[in-house]
Amino acid sequence: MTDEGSYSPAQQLFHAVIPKVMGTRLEWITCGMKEKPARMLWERFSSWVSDASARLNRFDPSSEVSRLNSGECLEPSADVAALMDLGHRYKALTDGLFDVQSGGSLDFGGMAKGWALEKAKDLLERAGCSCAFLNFGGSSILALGTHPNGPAWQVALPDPFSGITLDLWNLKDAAMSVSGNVPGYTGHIENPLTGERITARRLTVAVDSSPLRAEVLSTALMISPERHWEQRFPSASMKCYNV
Amino acid sequence: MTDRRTFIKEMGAMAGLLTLAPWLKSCSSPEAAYAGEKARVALIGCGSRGQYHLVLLQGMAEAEVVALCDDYQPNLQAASAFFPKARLYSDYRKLLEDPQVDGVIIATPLGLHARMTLDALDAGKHVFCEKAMALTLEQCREVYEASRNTSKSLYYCMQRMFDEKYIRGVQLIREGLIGDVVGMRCHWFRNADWRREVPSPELERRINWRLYKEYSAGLMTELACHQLEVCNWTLDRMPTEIIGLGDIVYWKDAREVYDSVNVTYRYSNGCKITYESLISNKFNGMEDQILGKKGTMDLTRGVYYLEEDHLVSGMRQLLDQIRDGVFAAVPAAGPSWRPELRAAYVPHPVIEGSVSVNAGQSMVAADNDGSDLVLKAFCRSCISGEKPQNIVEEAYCATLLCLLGNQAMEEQRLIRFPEEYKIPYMKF
Repeated sequence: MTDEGSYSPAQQLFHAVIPKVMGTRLEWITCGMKEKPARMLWERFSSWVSDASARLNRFDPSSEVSRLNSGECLEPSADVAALMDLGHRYKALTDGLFDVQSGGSLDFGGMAKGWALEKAKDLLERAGCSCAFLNFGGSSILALGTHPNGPAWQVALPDPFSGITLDLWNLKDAAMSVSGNVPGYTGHIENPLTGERITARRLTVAVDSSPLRAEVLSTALMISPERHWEQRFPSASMKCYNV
Repeated sequence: MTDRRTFIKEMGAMAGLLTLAPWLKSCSSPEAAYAGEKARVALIGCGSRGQYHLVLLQGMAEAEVVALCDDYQPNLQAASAFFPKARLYSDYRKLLEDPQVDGVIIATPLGLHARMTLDALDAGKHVFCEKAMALTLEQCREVYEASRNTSKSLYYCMQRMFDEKYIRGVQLIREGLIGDVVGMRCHWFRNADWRREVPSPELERRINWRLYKEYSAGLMTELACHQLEVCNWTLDRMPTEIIGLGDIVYWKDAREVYDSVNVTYRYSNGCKITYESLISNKFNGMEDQILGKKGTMDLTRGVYYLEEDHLVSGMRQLLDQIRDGVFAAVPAAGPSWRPELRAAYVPHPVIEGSVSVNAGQSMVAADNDGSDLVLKAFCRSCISGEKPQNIVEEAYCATLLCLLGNQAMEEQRLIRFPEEYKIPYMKF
C-alpha cells in the first residue's frame, strides 16, 4: 500500500501517500531536501508507521492491541508501552477526560496519529529538514517551517456539513489537530467519565508545537468545551466551532 | 421529515426550479387557491394500484370520488368500500358518459391505457393514467398527438418527478455537484414470481396481465419506465442508441415477458444508462445512480458521494502551489477522513431530515414517493383547467425507451432512435 513517492527536482519537492494507515490517509510532503535523503527518510518513516499502525489496529483481532484487549498475558512492545505511559500522563493532565482506556479497552485512535507525527518530527529534524507538511486524514497535521512561497502553511478548515470555510489557520513549526462530528459519522467521541457520546455539531482545533499535545487537547476540548484549557496548556492555541 | 407540501412550495418559489421541474407549478400554488373546491374524479381499474390511489384520495381535500369502474366484480366491490356513495360501472365507456365526472384515474393493465386515455379525452375528461403510456410505439404517438389537441389535462403517474429527494438530487446534479455526468446505473431486483393469486383458471391472463404480451411489456414498462425517465430528466436529453438482452431465466411458467433484462442506452455524448432488472434475486434492490466525474448521486436514497474529499483535493492544490510558486490557503483540515474504499465513501444527504427510501419490493406502492403529489396536482388541474407542463412529454420519452429496449432485446440488435417517433421536446 505504501508508495515510493515522487520527487520534483526543480522545487526539491517530495510527495508520498499511504492510502490507509492508522485508519486514514497519510500525505507526506518535504521541500528543500535532495532526492536521495528525501526518499530514505520517507522509507524509514513509512515502514515504521505501517508497522505501528498494524500493531495498534484494534479492528484486527491479531494485532497487539487486540490481543492485549482480549486479556492475553503479553509483554507490550516498546512502542505500545510508551503510548500507554503517555496515555496515563495525559489522562492525569486532563482530569480523566482524555483516556486511551475508555470503556476498559485500549484505543489509541487519534493519539496514535499525534504520536506518529512526534516521531516524524524527530526524524525530519534530525535529517535537517526544515520544510515539511504531513497530514493524517486532515485531523492531524504537522507543518514544519513555512510554505515555500509564503510566511506559513495556511490551512483552511471547511465546515463538514456545508463545505463553507470556517476559519484559516497559519501554521509554522506547529501541529494541528481537529476533532469533531461529521455527517454520517457522529458520536464517535465519548466522555470517559460519564460514558456520554458527544453528538453536538461541533468541531475543535488545537495547535501546539507538540503534535501529541495538540491531539489530546482537540479531543479534550470536544468533550468539555467550557473548560479553560489554555490556562493549563499555555503553549497551545485552541478553538471550538459550533456548526 | 419536512412537510412535503411546504417543501414543494418553497421549491416552487425558488428561481430556476420550475425550469427544472415545470410540472410542479400547481403544487406550488397556495392551498387557499383551491379551498372548498373539489375535483369530481372517477377511478377506472380498481385493482391494488387503483385502491392505493383511493386511499390517497380519501385524505385529499381537493378530491371527491364520484364513480368507480371495473369489469372484475370483486375489485369493484372492494373499491366501493372506500367510497360507498360512488356510482359503480362495469363498462368504462358508460362512465365516460357521466357528466358529473371531471376527471378519470386510469389504473388498468398497460394494454388498455391508450384506448381508455383517448376515449376519456374525447369525452372531455381530464385524465390521470398510470405509467407507462401505452403498449406500442404507435399508440404512444397517438396519445401524444391527442394530448396536444385537447384542452384537458393529461397526467402520468411518474412519481419520481414529484419526489422531493429526486427533485433536489437532480437540481444538485444540474448545479454541477458531481461534475460532468459520465454514466448512469439503474437497476431493479426482486425475488418473486410477479404473480397474483387466481381464483379460477380462466382469469389467469386477466389477473396476471403483467406476464402476457397482450397487456404488458414486462419489466421495462412496469419498472424501468420510472428509472429511464429520471435519467433523461437528469441529462435533459434522450439516448440515440439502444441494445440489450432479455431472457426468461427462472420463472418458466408459461409467461411471455422476460424475467431478466439488461439494456444499455447510449446518449450522443457517449454517456450510457446501464439498466438491469431481474426478479429471481433481490440482493441489489432498486437503485438509480447518476455517476459524475466528481461524485455519485444515489437518487433512490437521496444521498451523494464525492469521489475525492476535500482533503485529497486540498493536498493536490498544495502540491500545485509549491510547483507553481504560488501561496494560498488549502482546505486540508477536518475531522478525520476515512479512505476511499467503496464501503467508506461518506454519504451526504441531499435534504435535511429523514428520507423515505423505496426498497422496490412492493408490487403496489411505496410510502411518500410522490404518488400523492401527482394525484393532488391532477385534482388541482381538474379544478383550475390548467394543463401540466412536460408530463406527457416525459412519459412519452420514457415509455418509448422502454418499448425500444424490448425491441432491441427481441430483435437482438442495436436500435437507433426512430425518426418517426421524435418530438420537438426531445434533445439528443
